[in-house]
Amino acid sequence: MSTPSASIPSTVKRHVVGHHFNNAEQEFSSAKLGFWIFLCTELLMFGGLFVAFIYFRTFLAETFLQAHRTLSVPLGTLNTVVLITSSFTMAMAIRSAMVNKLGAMKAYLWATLLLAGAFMVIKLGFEWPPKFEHGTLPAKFFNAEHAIASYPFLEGLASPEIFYGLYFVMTGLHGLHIVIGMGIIFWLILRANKGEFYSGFYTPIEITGLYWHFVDLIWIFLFPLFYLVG
Amino acid sequence: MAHNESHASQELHHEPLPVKVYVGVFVALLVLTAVTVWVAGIDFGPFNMVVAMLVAFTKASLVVLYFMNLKHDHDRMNGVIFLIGLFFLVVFIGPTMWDAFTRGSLDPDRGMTRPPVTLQAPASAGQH
Repeated sequence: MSTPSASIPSTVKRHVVGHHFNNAEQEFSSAKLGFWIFLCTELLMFGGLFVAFIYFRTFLAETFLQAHRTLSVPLGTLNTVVLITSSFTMAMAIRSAMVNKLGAMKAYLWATLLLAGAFMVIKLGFEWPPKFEHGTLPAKFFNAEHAIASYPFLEGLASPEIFYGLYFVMTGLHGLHIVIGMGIIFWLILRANKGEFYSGFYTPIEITGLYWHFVDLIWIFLFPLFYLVG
Repeated sequence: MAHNESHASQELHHEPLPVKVYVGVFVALLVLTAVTVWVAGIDFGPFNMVVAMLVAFTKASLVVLYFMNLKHDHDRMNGVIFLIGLFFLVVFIGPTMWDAFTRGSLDPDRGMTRPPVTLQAPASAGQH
């Protein structure tokens, strides 16, 4: 193996496998298998929303085509880049743990956390406020007068509030996943500072990585659907 | 030595992928993001969505295979589980699209595909 135990820093807390597991490999595989099953439930939860999007887009094609022009492509693109970069830093955090580069591991975890924060600042600080201002909101909160004053092409469209309903629910649920992920990454940093992660044990980072890449995966589809094609 | 052997079963011994794999995937994802924004400016008519989704699926495959490591995962079951999840997603989305895309070709009264023979409804039908 390329990671002999000699390269394990003496500062780490050597891992002891849970008593209900035979060995480290079984412990690691079980955690991953369980998490992949959880990701399938996530896939189907977001799947339901994607089905709703396809359905309404089919029947309100013109509405979706016009309403999607009110979303900011530059901000959406920036957020895509931010999220892809955070996925990369997460993958590198795992790799750093595997080769006992523990300083780099912590730096990559911090970078991931900061990029996640940047994503939420762009979303909540720059994307959503103009929507409240212009009244382009879901359901009864949609303010036709303000919306048409800001975006004249919205006039005469059938049910634009449905587009904004889907936009806020889907990007909102995705944003909630980002916030939860930030909490988990911060918890990883705290554990990393205690010296719990190294080549012999990095399961929590690996699992958080799977979660984080999945959140990236959802955004990869949300971005073209809402911002680019509509 | 005995100390090391006691650790052997207690610790993981995994070989990571080379850094260049992660950097390569990262760069590819950035390039594909630029591509998807760029092609959105070109009008392919009804194929706009198809083109956007082709790029999105390519990006998603890179993330799942390399960042989520399904390509090199020692435990092949993880990939099987994910494919089963995808299968149910297709079962979920497929018939919905079938319904949504073909609904216009159905006769609202009789549920048959147009155009069948045009029957004259009985005069009393409208009063029910």
